[in-house]
Amino acid sequence: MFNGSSNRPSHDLPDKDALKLASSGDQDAFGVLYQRYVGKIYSYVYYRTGNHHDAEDLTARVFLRALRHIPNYQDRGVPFSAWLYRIAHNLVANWHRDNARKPEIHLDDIPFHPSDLVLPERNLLRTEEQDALLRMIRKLPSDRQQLLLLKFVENFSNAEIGVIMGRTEGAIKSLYHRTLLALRDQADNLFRVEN
Amino acid sequence: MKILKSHKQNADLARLEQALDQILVPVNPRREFIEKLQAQLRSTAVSPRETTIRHQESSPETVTAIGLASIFSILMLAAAGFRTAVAILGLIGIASEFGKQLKAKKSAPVLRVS
Repeated sequence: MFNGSSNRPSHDLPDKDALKLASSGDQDAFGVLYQRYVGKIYSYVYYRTGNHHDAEDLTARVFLRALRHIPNYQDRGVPFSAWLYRIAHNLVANWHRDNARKPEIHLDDIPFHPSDLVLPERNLLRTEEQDALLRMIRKLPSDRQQLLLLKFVENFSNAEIGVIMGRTEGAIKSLYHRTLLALRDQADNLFRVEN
Repeated sequence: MKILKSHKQNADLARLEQALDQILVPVNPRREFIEKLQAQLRSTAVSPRETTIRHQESSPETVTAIGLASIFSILMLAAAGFRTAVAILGLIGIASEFGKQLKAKKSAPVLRVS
């Protein structure tokens, strides 16, 4: 990706091998990892921030930080994606903290219009209920939002989410159940009030 | 009754999961953004090899200057330490002399005028 060498790493190179090459300074290998994860990280950050502009800005920062620290990356059995999601999670947390300090921009006021994006056809017909559900998700505590996004947007298993969030599989399972119950209760209240 | 309630709850949660599955779908970034970031990463990338070369580029003059500065600072620290030690010893001397004088004053015979 970054230099013009003819001996470029293949795009189906496993993460582990690409990571080994990238941490020893092979920029093409980092390019393979970038291409593989840019969409996933963008998606995650987008749902956490609710707008394109910040999603692009934070995604760029995630990869710039990863590039800067990849020579010091140590394989501790945690997948590369988990490392990237942790960087993304920390940057999003900082972003929320910075925004909370500016009273004129309330988090709930940030427009959230995923239908403006390139989405699958099934999502174009979004109902009011689905919009309300999205708003409820954005009001959940940070770890619960992260869990839902990793589970539904990225399709990770509980074990994989546990690795990313630094918790056990059982803890994730329990947190997921509690999150669903909380969402259901909120939805019940919302629709009861509306009716 | 309890079983019915729990069955209803499970059905609610299943419906909720279905709704989440429908709305939480991957969002694609703009192609221009991906390409622009790719170019940005390319321009900021510094390979470890380049970093090593930069370390080797330190000239002998720089190394000598750093060495001399280190020796000078060590000497200055030693001198400051020596001065502090001398000052402390001086203070101890003064204190002990003062103590001796007080002792001598107390033990001196007192002349009584009758």
